[in-house]
Amino acid sequence: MAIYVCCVLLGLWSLVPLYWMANLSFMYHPEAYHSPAHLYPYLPTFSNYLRALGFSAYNAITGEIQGPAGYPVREGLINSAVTALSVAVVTVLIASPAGYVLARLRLPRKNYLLMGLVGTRTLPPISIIVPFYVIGLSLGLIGTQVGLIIMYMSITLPLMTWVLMGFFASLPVETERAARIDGCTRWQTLIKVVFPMSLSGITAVGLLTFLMMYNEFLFAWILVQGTPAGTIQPILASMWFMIGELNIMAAANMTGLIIPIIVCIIFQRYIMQLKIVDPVSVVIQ
Amino acid sequence: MPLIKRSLSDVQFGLALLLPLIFFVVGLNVYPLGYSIWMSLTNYDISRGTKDFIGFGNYYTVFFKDPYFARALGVTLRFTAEAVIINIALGLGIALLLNEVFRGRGLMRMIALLPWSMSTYAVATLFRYMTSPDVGLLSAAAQYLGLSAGPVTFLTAANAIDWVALAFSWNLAPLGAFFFLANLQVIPEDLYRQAKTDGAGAIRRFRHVTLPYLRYSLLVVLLLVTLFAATETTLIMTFTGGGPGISTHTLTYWVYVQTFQSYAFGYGSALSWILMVIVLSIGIVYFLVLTRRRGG
Repeated sequence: MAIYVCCVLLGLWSLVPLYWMANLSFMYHPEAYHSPAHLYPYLPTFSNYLRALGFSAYNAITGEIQGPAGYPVREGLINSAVTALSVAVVTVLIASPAGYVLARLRLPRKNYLLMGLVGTRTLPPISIIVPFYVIGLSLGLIGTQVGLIIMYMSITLPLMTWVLMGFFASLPVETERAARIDGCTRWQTLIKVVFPMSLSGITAVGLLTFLMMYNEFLFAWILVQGTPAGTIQPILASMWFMIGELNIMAAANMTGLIIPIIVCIIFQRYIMQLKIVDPVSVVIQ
Repeated sequence: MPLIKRSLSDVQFGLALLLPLIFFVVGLNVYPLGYSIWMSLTNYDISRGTKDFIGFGNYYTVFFKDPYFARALGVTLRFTAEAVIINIALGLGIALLLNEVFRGRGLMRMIALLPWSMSTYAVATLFRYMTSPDVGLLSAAAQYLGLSAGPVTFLTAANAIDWVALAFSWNLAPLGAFFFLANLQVIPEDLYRQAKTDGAGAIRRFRHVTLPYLRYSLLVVLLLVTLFAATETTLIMTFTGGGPGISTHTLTYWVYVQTFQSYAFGYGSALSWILMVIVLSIGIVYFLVLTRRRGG
């Protein structure tokens, strides 16, 4: 019984802030500004979502067709997905072999590299972004999607190499030994034995990279906001400072949550099955 | 030496696979950091058009002439301490609940993890909507319950940083909870049974059986939350914007203001290096803890 009381409390804690934004996003303009605020929409509507995403919608109160809200929300959602997916693919391609090597092989001065990886993770993002910005300006990378993707790699590569290293270290080494004894070269062992065995771990790391970069704000805000490469988070933030219509704002924000929630539900399966939650290997945010 | 026939040595094979990583880490992490050290020793300022070497002038200004530095450091410490306390309490609570066996546990896990999946910006927005005097749920609830006749302002200059710490913990606590949970699940059930037969109550069982197992993950969560909290910028930018007034100007936010609002790149770099030294010393402790467990 006590357990279910705790469950209800936890549910409220996690879901009420989300419910509240959803609530506002389904209201027409006058109702959203009613004080005290309504606890549920008395006249629910989907029109805010349509207008936020750049379509026209019928207003049941005034009987008019209202035009799109005029912000690049749809473009931002697409940019975010493309950017995050690119970063995830490249990160996995580089970090998986590197993580495997660091987990399995004895190399001279390996500890320096490991320390470097942890070190870069502890650097405050705001400290990295200042030199990035200046260097990016001189290379013409500011305001481009490629520039943003490259700069995101500075976050994901050290982190995901570290996570994958922990994952590969947790795999049994016997299968690889057997493959080597049977005459496989190192490359064959890696490609035909190790990677197929590690697909779940690599997928989880890919999902995690995607989620983190889809949600990234600071780099995107400084490097690409206001350009055609703008991602969803900074676009929403700049809307907040300019747009008057709270109900549209709430709807736009809700659209930005859809993909992270789906990815999180898929990722939730991996988070416990894999050793990926080994506290040593995960330094996620 | 017949080089072609010989298979690759460990070092050659390893280097081949590590090369892309090393290339990126040097290009994207090491080089910008070197550049940043150089900038911190200049008066590089886009708005004034200066870019001259001034030695440790910026550092001298930070420590002896900038009245905001000590203030920002104080706000950072308060925010970090609050974030650590809330995160550990909440994370431990969630983990202990999810470690119990009951129907619907899978669903509860998903719900518990949900706040973590959201972007920092989204968290800021959710909490702005919750605490807004006009459209906020808290303000509305206070009015419906008859606690207040009109709209209530929750964020004041005195407590805004506490609200930011709460929002931060709402977002991050699920991660800590899953660290704890992973650790809780390796505690042998027998230990509890034995403690029960020895007549230990729930609190004593927690202290003497659960806590010793959690010591390691507690330390990791403690360090991680400290690192993340001390460097949190986005949440402050988008939740309070440093306000009301300058009440939520932490050290990182101060770097942001100096660099991207005043365009004092030299001064901003010097500030960010001071921040980095503070954070890196925490990071070194973290690394020592990790390597010690790896070895033993």
